[in-house]
Amino acid sequence: MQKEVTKSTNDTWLVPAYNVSKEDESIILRIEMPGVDKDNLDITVENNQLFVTGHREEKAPEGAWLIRERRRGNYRRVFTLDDTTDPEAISAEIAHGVVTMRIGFKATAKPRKIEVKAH
Amino acid sequence: MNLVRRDSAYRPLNEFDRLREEINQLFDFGSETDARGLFDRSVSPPVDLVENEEGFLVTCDLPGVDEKNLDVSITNNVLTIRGEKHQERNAGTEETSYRREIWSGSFQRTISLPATANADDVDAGMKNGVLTIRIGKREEAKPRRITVGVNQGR
Repeated sequence: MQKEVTKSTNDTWLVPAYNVSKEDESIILRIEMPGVDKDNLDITVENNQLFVTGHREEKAPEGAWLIRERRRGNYRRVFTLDDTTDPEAISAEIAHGVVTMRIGFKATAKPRKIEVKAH
Repeated sequence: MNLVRRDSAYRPLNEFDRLREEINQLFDFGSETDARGLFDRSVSPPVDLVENEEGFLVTCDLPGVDEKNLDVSITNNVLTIRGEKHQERNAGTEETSYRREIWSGSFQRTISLPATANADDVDAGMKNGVLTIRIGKREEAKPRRITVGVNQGR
């Protein structure tokens, strides 16, 4: 589940930064989406592709811009899940604008200990 | 300082931004490894500052930063946003990192506010990783309507 796919769409998506790590028996994916809350976060799995989309309902304030560094728009990042991950075992939560996803492995991909019997 | 009102119309410059980001991603520039160094400003969080009739609105993206680790102050019309961002991880588990794009560490950002800003009238709030600071204007700086009397005839 390492490489993300760059999709060319007509929409301009902001590309959020993410971390991937392995903790215990699952993959942890953390994605930064400031301004997105639980209701505006959309996560779908389709053909081994994991789509994480965050919509920001932020209106640009009226007035004169003295500094403008933040980028406006919606976030999207697409990941490819490999065969060892279990698409049924994905959980997600969001806090402080950071999405934390936990992706489990398939039982067949976990190391299995084989007992040796003595005759 | 800008008097042009910018709205959500098509901005070709944004396309350049996007292109640059895509190229950076290809070569993995801009990732944490080269965003290091004493004077490196690339870790300072992005800020918006908007002025309207009532006052100023400062917006700053700080995902993953706890209010407890954030310090906002105004001294001599200089706004300082200072804080620390910890790397999120679950305590007590063994962690192997595969990819790290999210930076962590301490940051500081100072913004010079116009002289009309009123440091005694400030509200700050944090929501979904976005810090919003509203700063009022001094009374004498607010626009006043002056009725112009027209003298009839002469």
